[in-house]
Amino acid sequence: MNNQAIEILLVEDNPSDLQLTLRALQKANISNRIHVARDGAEALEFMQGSSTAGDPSPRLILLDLKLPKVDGLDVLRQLKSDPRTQAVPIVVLTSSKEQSDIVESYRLGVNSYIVKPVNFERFSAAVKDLGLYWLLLNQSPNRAE
Amino acid sequence: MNQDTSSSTPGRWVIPLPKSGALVYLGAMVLTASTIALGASLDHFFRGHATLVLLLIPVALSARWGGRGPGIAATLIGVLGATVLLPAYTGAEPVTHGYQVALLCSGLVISVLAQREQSPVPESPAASAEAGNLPPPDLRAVLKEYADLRIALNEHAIVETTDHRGVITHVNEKFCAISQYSRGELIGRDHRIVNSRHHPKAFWAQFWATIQRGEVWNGEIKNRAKDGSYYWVATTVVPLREDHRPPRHYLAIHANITDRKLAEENLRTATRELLDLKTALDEHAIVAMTDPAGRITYVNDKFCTISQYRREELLGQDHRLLNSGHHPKAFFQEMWRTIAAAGVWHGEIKNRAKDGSYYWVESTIVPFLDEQGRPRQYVSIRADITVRKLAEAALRESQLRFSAAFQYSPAAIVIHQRSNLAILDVNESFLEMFECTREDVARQSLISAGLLDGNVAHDISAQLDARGEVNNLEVVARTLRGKLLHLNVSVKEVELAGESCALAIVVDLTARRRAEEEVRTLNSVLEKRVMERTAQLESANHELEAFSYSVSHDLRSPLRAMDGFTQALLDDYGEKLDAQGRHYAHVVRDSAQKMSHLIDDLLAFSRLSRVPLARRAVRVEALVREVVAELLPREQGRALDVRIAALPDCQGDRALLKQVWLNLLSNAFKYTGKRPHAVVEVGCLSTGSVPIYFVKDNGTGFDMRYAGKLFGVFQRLHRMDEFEGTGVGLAIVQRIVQRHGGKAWAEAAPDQGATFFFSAESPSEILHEQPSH
Repeated sequence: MNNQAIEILLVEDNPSDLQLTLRALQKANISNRIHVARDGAEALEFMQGSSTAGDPSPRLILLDLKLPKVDGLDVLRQLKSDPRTQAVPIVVLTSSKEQSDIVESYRLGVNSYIVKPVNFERFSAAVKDLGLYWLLLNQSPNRAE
Repeated sequence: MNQDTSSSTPGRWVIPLPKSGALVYLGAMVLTASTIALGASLDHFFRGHATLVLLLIPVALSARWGGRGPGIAATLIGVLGATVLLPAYTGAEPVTHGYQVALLCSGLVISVLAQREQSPVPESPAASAEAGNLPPPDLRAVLKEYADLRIALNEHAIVETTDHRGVITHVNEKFCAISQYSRGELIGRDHRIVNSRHHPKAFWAQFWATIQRGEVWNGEIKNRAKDGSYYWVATTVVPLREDHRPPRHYLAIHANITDRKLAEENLRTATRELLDLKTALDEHAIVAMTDPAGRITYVNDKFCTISQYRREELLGQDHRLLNSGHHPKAFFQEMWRTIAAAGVWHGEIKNRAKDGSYYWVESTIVPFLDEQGRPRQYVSIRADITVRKLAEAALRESQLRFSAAFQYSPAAIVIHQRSNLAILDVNESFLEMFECTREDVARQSLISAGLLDGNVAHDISAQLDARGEVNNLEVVARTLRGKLLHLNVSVKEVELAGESCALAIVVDLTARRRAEEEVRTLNSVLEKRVMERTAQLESANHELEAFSYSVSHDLRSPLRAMDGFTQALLDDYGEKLDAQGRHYAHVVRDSAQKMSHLIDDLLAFSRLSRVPLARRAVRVEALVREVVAELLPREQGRALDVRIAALPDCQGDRALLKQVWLNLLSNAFKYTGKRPHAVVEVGCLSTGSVPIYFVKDNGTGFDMRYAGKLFGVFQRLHRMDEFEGTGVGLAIVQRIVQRHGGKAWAEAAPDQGATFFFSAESPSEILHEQPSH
């Protein structure tokens, strides 16, 4: 990783999914400043650590729900309830189509909820759209410098 | 002095003439004077001789009337008046002495003659004999006999003699006694003095006609005594005649029959009364008389009517003719014993009429005894009580019925007086309920018997006063053994024999209460169990939910990997593969896709049973349009005509129904994919009470032979290379429709499109309508 500010925090535990997601992001030329957290605890550590350190927060968090250690919804809750991190857009990227998950996520303040299509092309397209939207189109609050 | 002017005695003067002597003399003088005056006026015509002629009239009259004396007086006055005074007055020439003498003589002669004409006062022959008319010696004996007879007669009978005119010439003592008149009042008087006016004119006419003919008359006469009282006499009137000349005297001999007559009249009166009584009796009662042996001697009309026998059929018969067989022999034996012993018997008898029908009579049989005290006849008087007997029987039966109803009613009933709560009657159920005997409640009040508490009684009484009835009041009471009772009491006010009473029906709730308690307990136990089960179910559901969730999630991940890396393979190393190699890669990818769909469908399908059905009014037309709008974007670039008709609302779960429409419509779009011009129609059949929706397409259709497989899970009627699909879609439709109580079916023909029908409600159910959301 270069020492440029991280743009995307990708929280994903499944190696296949991880690889595919990275591949999709790369193909879409979204960014290469991506940090990967393999479970919820790592994700929280990273976020809390970077804000403590005063590093600028990532511009987008792609969060899977089914995570070991700390569950995705938990991460969501914590991040959204922490004033330091709540402004960061979080997009849940998960296989779960369950209403309960969707409802809960939005309740917790998720910015978007995407279901990972099995079809890779569609998955790629979705990732690309995501990236373009959140990194380029969407206005984020200025990052703390 | 009443003289009967109606009696017709021939020769009798009509003018009433006074009999007293002085008046007769005066009358003579007046008559004479008036004749002189008349004569004087007629002198012109008769030249002075008229007076002479005329004078003869008053003289004759006076002599006839009064006898010799008055006649002579009239003569003297006449001569004096006519021959001396009148000429002096009128100045006419005086009458010659010879003329005077002639007048005197004629007057004297007339007077004497007239005297002789008069009937002499009959003197008894014996009296005249005593007066000196000495009859010949043989007549003396006859007279003696006659005198004796007379004395005897006078001792026995009432005797009178009258002259031919009816004037009494002689009466005996008895006559005076019975008529109460004295001899002086009777002699010379007309016998009508004792007339009572009882007998009509015709009677007297016949009487006089008979005796004047010289015949003896016999009869009964009612006379009137001096004091106005009446007496009857049996009379024989004998006309006394000399040779064949008309009778000059009548001898009447009477016997006093007043008593007899009175007795006769009393008898008549009594008889009439008896007859009246009998008639009245015949009107009212059935009367029969029998001889001592019991044979019928008399029956009245009513007897004939009720027994239906004619009089001839009854007389001489025994009463056994009417025997109905109802009474035992002893009954009749007792009856005969009573009346034969001269006792009066009363009783009720059932008889048999001629036609075989029965009637009841209330009878009184009275024996009548002869001089020896033995019955000589029996008189029976009966009243028809058939109707009463029938009424009695009906009443008895009714009483029994109601008594039975009261006594054996399963509800406990008590009748008591309102004033003092005195118990009048209770039925068996009551005794059972309160565990007491009839003796326990006899002559007790509800309170004194220990059945009811004072307060409760007061409550009930107050309600009765207010409304006249109490309905389903729940009270607590105790049985006589002290057991507590929960009762439901209903009371109604009734009036019995003028007394205000109450009829109370008591239902024991104790058992019911217990049962209710049990039910309640059971219910709560059940509820607990249900809650437990529900909890179990819910937790099971949760588990299932979690399971399927994690399963689907976990299954999808590898699928993604499969698909993704195969694509990566194609992307990165595609040019190193030949067509076959690339084909294999595609197959891998397709399989992954299919599996993904399968998982989705399965998940949805399994969830269908778990999701509760929320039934509300659904705006179906709007829903369909929504679904179509969702699906259309995928069908871009082809000629697809979707026609949606007006669709009625239905009751159902919107989310689930949306799945139905999604499946049916996506199928329709899918299977018309090969048509150059696809037409999909959505509508509703108008038959029946529930709406039947349909989706009709002009797609590839199917063979109806396989229609049964249509809704099976994973069943498909087309090959995967023709049309893709998992075969779960219609199963989902079926499952949802069934959960709604409806049905789903399809009609199609190969290559001619298909129509899928479904209803979301069962025809008979009209479930609770919820407001549409």
